[in-house]
Amino acid sequence: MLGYIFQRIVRAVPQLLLISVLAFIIIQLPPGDIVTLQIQRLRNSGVEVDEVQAQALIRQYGMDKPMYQRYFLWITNIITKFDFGYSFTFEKPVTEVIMERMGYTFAIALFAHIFTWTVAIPIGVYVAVKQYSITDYIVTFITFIGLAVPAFFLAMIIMYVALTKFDIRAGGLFSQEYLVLPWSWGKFLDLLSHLWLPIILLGTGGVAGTIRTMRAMMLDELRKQYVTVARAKGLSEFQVIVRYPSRLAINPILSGVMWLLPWLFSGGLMVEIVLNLQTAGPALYSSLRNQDMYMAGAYILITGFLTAISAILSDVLLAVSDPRIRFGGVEGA
Amino acid sequence: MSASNLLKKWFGRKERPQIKAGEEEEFYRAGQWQLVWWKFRRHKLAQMAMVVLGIMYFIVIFAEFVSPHDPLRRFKQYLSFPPTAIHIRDQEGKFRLPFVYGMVMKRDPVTFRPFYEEDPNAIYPIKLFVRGDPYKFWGLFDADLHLFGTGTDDMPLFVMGTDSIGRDEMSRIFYGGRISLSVGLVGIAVSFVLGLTLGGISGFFGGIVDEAIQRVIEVITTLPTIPLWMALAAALPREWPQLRIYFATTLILSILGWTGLARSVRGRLLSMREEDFVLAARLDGESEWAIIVRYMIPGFASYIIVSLTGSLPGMILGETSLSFLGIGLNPPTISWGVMLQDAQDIMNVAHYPWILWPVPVVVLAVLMFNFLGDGLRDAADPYVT
Amino acid sequence: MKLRKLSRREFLHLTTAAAVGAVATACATPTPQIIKETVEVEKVVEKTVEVEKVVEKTVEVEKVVEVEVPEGRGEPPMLEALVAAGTLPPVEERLPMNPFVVGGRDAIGVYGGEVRQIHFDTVWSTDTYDWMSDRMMQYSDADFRTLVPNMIESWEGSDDGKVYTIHMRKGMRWSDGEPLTTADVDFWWNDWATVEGLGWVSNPFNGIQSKRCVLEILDDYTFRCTFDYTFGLFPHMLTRNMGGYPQEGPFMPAHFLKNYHQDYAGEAAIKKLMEEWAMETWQQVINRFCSQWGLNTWQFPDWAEGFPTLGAWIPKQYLGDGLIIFERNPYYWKVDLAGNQLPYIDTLRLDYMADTQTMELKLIGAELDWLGMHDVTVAKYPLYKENEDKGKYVVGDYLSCMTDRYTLYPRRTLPNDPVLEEIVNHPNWTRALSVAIDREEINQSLFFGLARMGQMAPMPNSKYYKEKYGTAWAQYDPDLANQLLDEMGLTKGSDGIRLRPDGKPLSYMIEQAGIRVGASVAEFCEMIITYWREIGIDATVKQIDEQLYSERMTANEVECGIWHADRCTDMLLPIQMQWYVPVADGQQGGVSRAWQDWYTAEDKEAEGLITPPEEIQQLFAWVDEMKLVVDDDERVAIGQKIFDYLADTPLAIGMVLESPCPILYNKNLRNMPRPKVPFGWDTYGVNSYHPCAFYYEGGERA
Repeated sequence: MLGYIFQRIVRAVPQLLLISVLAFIIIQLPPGDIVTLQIQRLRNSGVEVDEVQAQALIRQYGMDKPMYQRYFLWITNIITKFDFGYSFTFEKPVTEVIMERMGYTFAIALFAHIFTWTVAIPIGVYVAVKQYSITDYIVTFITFIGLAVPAFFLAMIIMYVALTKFDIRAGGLFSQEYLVLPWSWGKFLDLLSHLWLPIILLGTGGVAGTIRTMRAMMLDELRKQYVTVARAKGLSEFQVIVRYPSRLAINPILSGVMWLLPWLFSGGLMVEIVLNLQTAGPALYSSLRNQDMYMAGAYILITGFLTAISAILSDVLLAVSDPRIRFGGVEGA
Repeated sequence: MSASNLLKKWFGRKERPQIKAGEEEEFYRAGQWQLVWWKFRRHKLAQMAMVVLGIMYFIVIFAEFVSPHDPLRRFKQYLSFPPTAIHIRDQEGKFRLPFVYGMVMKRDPVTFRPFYEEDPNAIYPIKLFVRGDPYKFWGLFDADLHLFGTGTDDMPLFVMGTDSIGRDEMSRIFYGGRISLSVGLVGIAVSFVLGLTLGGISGFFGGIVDEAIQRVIEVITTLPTIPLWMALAAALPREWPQLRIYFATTLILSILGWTGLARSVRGRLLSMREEDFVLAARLDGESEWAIIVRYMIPGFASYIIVSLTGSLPGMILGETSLSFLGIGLNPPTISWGVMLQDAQDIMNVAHYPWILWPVPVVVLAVLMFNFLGDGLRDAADPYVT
Repeated sequence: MKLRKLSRREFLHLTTAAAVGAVATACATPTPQIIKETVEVEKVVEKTVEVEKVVEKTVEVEKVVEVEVPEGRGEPPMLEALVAAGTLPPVEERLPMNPFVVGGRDAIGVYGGEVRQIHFDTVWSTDTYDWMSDRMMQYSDADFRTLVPNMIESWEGSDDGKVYTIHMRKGMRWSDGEPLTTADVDFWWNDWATVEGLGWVSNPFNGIQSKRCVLEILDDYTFRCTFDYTFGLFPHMLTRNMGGYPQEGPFMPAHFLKNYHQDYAGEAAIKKLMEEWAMETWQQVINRFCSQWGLNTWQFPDWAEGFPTLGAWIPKQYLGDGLIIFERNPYYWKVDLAGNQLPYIDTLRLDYMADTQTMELKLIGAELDWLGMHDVTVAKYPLYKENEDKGKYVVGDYLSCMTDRYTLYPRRTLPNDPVLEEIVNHPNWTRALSVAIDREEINQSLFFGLARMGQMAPMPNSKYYKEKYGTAWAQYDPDLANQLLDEMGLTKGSDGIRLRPDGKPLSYMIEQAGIRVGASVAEFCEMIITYWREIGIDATVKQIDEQLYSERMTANEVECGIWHADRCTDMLLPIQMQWYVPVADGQQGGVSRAWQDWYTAEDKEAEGLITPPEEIQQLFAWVDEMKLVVDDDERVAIGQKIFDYLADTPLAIGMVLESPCPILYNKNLRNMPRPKVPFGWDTYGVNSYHPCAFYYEGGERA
């Protein structure tokens, strides 16, 4: 087992390096760089910047060095000092910008997932047991609609209706008054009163998918012989379902918990933008737009890194549950 | 991503006993499609979806003829015109064939928002096969015949209303569907070719080739989608005409689509390589290529079709997401994604809700593809229940 | 402060009377007797004289305002506790000897309240900049023509326009209480602005074509700059980009910045900072405070805390994601007519918005007290108007000299396509493109009929304006357009598209940079290309990223650009003529970047330069002349030569002469600018209207 884990990690190292190179290339792909962009913005807003001085600025920020040099400097700092570089738009180290937002980001993602599971798993089990019933059809229909409506659009409509019809200001994480106050019980309650919308919106997308998965898994498990055996033994239907097939069917979903990590950064980006949340996603996204290259690079790298770790974790988890993978790799790619 | 991957893994594993279950090769090859069709017909939602999608594709293919107007034509007197009320009873209570009343634009003296007053004396019947805006059908020949309309510029027909500069929403949706409904097909074709080829190579040859391809897939799936889209979209040469940008956008969309398919194709091939019928063929002296094409691909064709249908909705939603972020297509190109850009405007939500038409249309298309995919998956499911 | 001994009511009457002198004299109501009284008060007299100067040129002051004066108080309540505790000196000691007196307002205000604003980009928040940036000089908002000293006390220019002496306000202080002296000017000029690799912002002291002045410090409060040529526009240029940011000069907080300057702080200290801030050069360290991106100093107060400014509000709390609270600057150097220290408003709050929908929701939800020129558009007029009550705001009735003023720039240098270049350089080309446009339809469709359409010209209330400038080639006449193109020999092919001399179809592309140009730019361009298609041009439009747009404009690759044309009032037009004649900012607008390069080049024969046609060179010469002459009437005469030429042979294609600028503000805000005044980059947004004198009725927002 340990050997498998070790082998899996060793294999991830070149992958991670490749990701870092790709991340750097990707952020350099669009023409131009942040300094020229900002100089242009200055000019576009009336500040006169001399051409000579502009060139000096480009040198000053190291934008004239060849790409490989900048890459090596960047990656060395990350590996040796956990220093992701400097954010030009936030005028502070990238690490600081991200850390500031981690708390909310993590909380929202976690709550959204908990919402997803608490809603989706029971429903999934239920519709699987009652396959082809009216409830099954209704749930199927609703989940499909849930999969089809763009969440960012839903976010906007809900905010608009909440405001104009119910006088609820739904955007953001805090109401305007509390945003500027230090932490207090009132502020905490205020946060709770704002969390429902992002949690529901971010969770809904997952709900539909999870119900579909759960239903399929359950259907599969229910056909197996041990279920028949359990029934024959005289266990009540509820016990039969909860004790055996549900626990098995839930397995793959639990291994999906690992995917929470990369999801933190890009999962609900568009909803987060529309809802004006102070999470990591929108900040990183705006850095991409502004060609704030170290910030954007960190975004891609961290997301890639977390995805790779999640992949390792879920593989390991699968290996634990299924010895065949450990020993020969049936599908354990 | 995670859920669908798991789902695929699951299905991959589940289908293996099927091959064993199909005792005789003859039954397997002859019976499967029949079985699929028979099962598909039991899936009423999927059948309905097929009909609806058929209508949608018919409309967008013949958009020039079906649209009441030229999608770029502006009607100066009908700015932000609400969907026309179609009447069948006139002022005197008499029933007649569907008609619309003439409308006159007024402006609110305070807010300057346009509104419309009905002129009950001006009655314009809706006719079929009317002459209207000229067009070049499929760019081939000139025509001006439209399926329906009032046939007069005195009061044109705006079934879904008009936008802020007076363009007919319905015509725009019809034309926009050309891009939005084909973006998925093109993208899937690309994914299909890439996934099948690379997955096939990987699964069949194994060894170092397999290892290399698997690593590439891993890296690609690790990269976050949105930055990748943004960077690639920004890197497209702007000299390109919109059409090429559009194809490039679909390519970008499918860059992430093919990996899943490649993986499952590889998985199927790996497991199938060990099957008896492959061994039999090999002993028969069939070439490796022939084995793949003649025995193995038919073995999982149904699976591929299902997985492709399943990824279509994602492609359509992908186009709208790109447009939402402002990195997809831009006006004056018409697509549902481009039209959705206008839908993200509080003023349109509040004052001109008919600008939101693209939303239900996209939802409908995605829904139908999901139903169809679901039906196909059930049909392709070997378990006979 | 002797000032306070004077009866406030009397004092106010006096100055109000002075401020509206022109009208007042006509009505002959105020007696000269009152004016005599003020002679007792030395400081006030100085002030009244200045104000009177304004008055002489005032043209349109509507009425004498009867003002109810509340019992004014010396100390803003917010600061009382600090003063009582001894941590802050009393107001008398905080104000300069001769503060700037803001007159001409509707009323004496009351202290208190908060103004909630927004910004969209973590790196860009121009509207708030307009609230707190002050300039060396400014134009009086009574007539928008008269130069008045603002941060400085006074100035003198020699008759030949070469020598300018500037007197600073004695006792004026930075927001940390340190006195502002010529030492700050000295540091800016000698240790920053003229140092290679440090100073990167152009400024009027650099003169024309980089022929710098000689800057001499005369005493603690006086400095002099001497040019070796006549530079008549110099004092006018001090109304632009001077003072809002430290790098703009000439007031740079030397006592603070010396800690970050290698020559003063020493290498070791700077090295340590470089490490701490992850920077690569020492210049980055000081320029962290002197760079406008990241909007420096006040944008990110968590690290720039204590950075001294001269603005009316200073950053106090940085709460992440661009949410910033600004509080009143206790050392602000402006007072109202009753001698109360300004500003009235205690705090400004700046929230970050990720997109416009969120902003509009906040607006409807009554969570905004101010929405400035960058964020409003006439395209949303009905939405603004319908939610006035719900959002508790007022839609201001102002004129835009920036927002929504779409202007097309048919580019005249197209090195990649010589055939097209020859076509577009025919004078008929721009004329035809212009008359092919139905401006009234654009007015109805995009501006709800609220705009006054016309040609690219100074605004109608400008000294430079003549009727014909606004109407030349602005009629809708597709027949004329066709005729003009026919005359050029561009015949139509079988499909109705004209053919170029080389036989190719005549295609023409507008490139636009998206929402930054204007809210309806996409619709606008779509309309334009259909007009041009009607006269046989295969016109297309493409939306590209703003940066890419700038790059392509710079490389002379864009066939037709579009931008919102400001610089159309007397305040800015003579200083920045670039939208009319391509002398600057060719990355944004203007008809040719190559011509601009030629104009700015020192060596006109240098390789790679494209020499513009003679008539363009003549325009350049006139633009230079406008900068040099001392007499304003002379300047207008030269300017009108340029506009006469453009009325005959247009370079740019304008759309709007006047369009509304629906600034939104809380309905309790008072002392707001009077209706129909211009808003735009020309006025520095709200800045020209003394936002420090805005106040809430009852001290609180609605």
